[in-house]
Amino acid sequence: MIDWLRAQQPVAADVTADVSESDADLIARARVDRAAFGVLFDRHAESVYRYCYRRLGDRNAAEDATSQVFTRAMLALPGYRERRGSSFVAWLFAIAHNVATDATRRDRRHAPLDAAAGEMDTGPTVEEAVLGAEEARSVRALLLALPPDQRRAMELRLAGLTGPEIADVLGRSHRAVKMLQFRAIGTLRSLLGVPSARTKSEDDQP
Amino acid sequence: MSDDRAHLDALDAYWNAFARNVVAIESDLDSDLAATIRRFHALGDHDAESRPQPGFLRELRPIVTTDPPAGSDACTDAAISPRVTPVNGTTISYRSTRHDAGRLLFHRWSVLAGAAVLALLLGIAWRLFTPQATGDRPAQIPAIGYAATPASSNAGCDVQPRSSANLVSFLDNATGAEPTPPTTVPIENRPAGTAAIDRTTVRQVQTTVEEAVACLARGDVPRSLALYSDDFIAHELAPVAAWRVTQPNWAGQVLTAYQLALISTALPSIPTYVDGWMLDDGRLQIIFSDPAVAGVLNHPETTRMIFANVDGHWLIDAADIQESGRPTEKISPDECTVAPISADEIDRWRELVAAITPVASPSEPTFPRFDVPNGVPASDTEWAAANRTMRQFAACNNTGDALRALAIFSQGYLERRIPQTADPASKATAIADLDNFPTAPTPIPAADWRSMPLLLHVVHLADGRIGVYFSEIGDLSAAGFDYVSPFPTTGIVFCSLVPASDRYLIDSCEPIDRPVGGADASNSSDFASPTPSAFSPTHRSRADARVNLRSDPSFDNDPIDVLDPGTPVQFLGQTRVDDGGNFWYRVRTEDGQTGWLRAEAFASLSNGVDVLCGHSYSSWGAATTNDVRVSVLNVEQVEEGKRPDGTSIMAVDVAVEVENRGAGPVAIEPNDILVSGCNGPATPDAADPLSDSTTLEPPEAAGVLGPGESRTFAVVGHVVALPANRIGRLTFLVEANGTRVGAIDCPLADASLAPEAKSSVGCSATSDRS
Repeated sequence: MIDWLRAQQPVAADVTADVSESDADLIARARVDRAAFGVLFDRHAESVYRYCYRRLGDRNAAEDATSQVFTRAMLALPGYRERRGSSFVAWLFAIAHNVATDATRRDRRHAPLDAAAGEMDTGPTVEEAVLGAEEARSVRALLLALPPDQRRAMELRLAGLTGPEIADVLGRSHRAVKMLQFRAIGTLRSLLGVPSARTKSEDDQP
Repeated sequence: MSDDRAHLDALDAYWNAFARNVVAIESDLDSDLAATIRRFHALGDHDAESRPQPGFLRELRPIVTTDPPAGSDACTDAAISPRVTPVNGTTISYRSTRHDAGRLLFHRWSVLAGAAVLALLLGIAWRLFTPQATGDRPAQIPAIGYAATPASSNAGCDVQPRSSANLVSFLDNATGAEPTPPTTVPIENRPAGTAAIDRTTVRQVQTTVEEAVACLARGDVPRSLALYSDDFIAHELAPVAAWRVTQPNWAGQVLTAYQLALISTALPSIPTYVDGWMLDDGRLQIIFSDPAVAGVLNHPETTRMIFANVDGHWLIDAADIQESGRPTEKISPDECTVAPISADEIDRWRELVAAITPVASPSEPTFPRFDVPNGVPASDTEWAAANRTMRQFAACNNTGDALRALAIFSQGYLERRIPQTADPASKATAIADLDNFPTAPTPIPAADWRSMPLLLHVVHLADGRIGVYFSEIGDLSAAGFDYVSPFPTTGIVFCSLVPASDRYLIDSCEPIDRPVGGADASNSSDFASPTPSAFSPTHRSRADARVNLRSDPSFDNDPIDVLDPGTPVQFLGQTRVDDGGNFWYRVRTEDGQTGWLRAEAFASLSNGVDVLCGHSYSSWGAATTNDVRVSVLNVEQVEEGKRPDGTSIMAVDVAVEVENRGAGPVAIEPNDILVSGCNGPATPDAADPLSDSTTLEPPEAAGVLGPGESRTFAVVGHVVALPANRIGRLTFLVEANGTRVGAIDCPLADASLAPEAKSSVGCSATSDRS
């Protein structure tokens, strides 16, 4: 999906960038030429925004968070070192993950009184999150139906990250991520109403 | 078991291929799971709500990709001599390199110090030089969602600010050269034979840091500067400020997203105390684990800060950062001498899980918590035993053999990890976990070996166990059995150890999110004691809502009680952050109940209300006289208009609770509670002449308070304020029976503030009654 997104993103006219130029090459250039960072921005900004939106559930908060993600990334770029088995995308989304977490905490600390009072009791239950069939069958409702750690993994999956990249972002082992997504996909299957292969007709088979 | 593992791998491989848009995916994955993935992503792709607004990314792009202002490379090389005298073989050194404003920001500073620097720069410049710079300022900082000031917070910033004159003196003496950011240095463990600092000092140091964070978070630069030593400001801040203000557009482009993002995102976090000791020159070296640093730089970091004692207060004198976490001593797996538990044991656990009676509950299985017990300082023998166990813990973990790693835990501990009830899905998950239990060793690369935990303190417990506090930064998941890990990936952990045949085994563990103090922490009263001491309220529940007291720091349980607004509680020293990012505090109520409150559910009983003009607060202060207690519950400020001279007219709404603690009646009349402030000095003797219309609402609320009676009053005032963001203080004056009986008096006038002294202003309670 990342590749698809990349293909959709316009390349800034003021930057000489080969669409096939790798993130690593762009990072190297961005250290001395800030414009090259713009290409990285173009490649990943929308997926970062959508990730932030899913984490925060609010357009303004997502815009704020997206701004901070790229600001932090640019500030930290000189110190970025690609590690074995890691990637720029994982690094970028690790920042996004942290920004979103910070934003959640900060919002809850500084929420207006009325809003905070409304949060005094438990959040939506699983049933509440998925009740209502069609309208609740939104991505956000699906995500809310998952335990937090599975939700985090699925949000990153939606952003196009691979298993190892998600492990990198969340600071978990790849194996732990495999287990998380295995559990999550089981829940999603039932929520999405995907029938078991045993009950499907032949026409349903891919 | 192998089939399930293959299933996990197939799922991951398919999903990875899907993520990489590999069109022809050949996979062994069940078709229904593959279909689920495709439908899930299709929903995500078509989720219009999650798409950015047209134009947002286009507007953001130049902001995050534009070079710093022209002329920012005008700085020349500057030799900065090490400011910190090498002591104990350690030093915080400084490089001499060429800098410009942009590159300065790129260096890997301690983010706490870095954010402080930036905030202070902004504040100094803003406060002192705005009038002169007006002509060069762009009309508006690009509107990308940042507030002009950081989020406000009232917590803990209760310190005498530095005066303007004091700050100017630093700039006058500045050389105009950029300081060099501290280098990344290895952080050493506390030297052998060096005592950890005492608990009281730990508290003082922690308070300094918390106040610094709180002051910065609310944008109160003069107060935050009071928490740094003169040396720090002269060496680190003043040169930068002096240099910046000579550049064109300093107040414009420099104050763009870069700094604001750092300030607004890095400050809410308070680093966790890990260890500390005194250097030969009398300063303190403190090691913090800093989540804010991790937030920016993407992995857990450790910050080293040096504190100097100035007039009895520990002020931040230097700070730097270590790149890869705590000092580490990688423990070789060869040191593991523990015999593995039998693989049959895994089957037995599986049977235990299979025997669980499922219940229809969506909640995750929870594991029993326990109160961290007190103890007495352990003997040398027990210290050595604890050290051996924790060393085995690391060594056996590093074998990659889960069966050996688990052998360092007691049978009771492992069985307590098995839930007694579970919903069907959780039960199935638990069984799947055990089916996939890694019974065969998976070698762990040496680079990923767990390091020796840093033992902070060891206590002898009344039941014969020993307790060990240690700091832990790492991730058990590297060993492949993270689902049995009791530990957080960072922070301080308390474990109790039980004696076994040849060693102590880990029997229980509890993460501790707050500092546990130093060498004499054994008598800590921070943690719940089996024999509770007298109730001593430190906080109150929210004044405007009933809040739930919960048995665990999460929403996944029924409240054990509902506290009325303003209920006094005693904070027991433990905090938690749940998966949703909620902060929880462990408290005790007057009737002896112990439970958890969300951070938003209570507030400090600090004295005084320190306000930023134009902002509203939900915290409060209180003053107590002989027989009247006055508590300020809420402060709301709204700008109603401007006067011709540019000052704002603020409407101030305040809720005040008056409690009669005396033996006789107390009469409160409509004009007995006066509110003033923000526009200058205000004292109970000279209520601010610029404030007006201070009234009680509703008027009929006035009346006589009988002994023991309390009542909440709303007070509405109109106060003329200086331009927004000026630091002010409200003064509350209460009269009763025609005589002033109490006041919360926080005098404020820049000219009256003593420079640099870090002394708590506090808000004095006064009484005219004898």
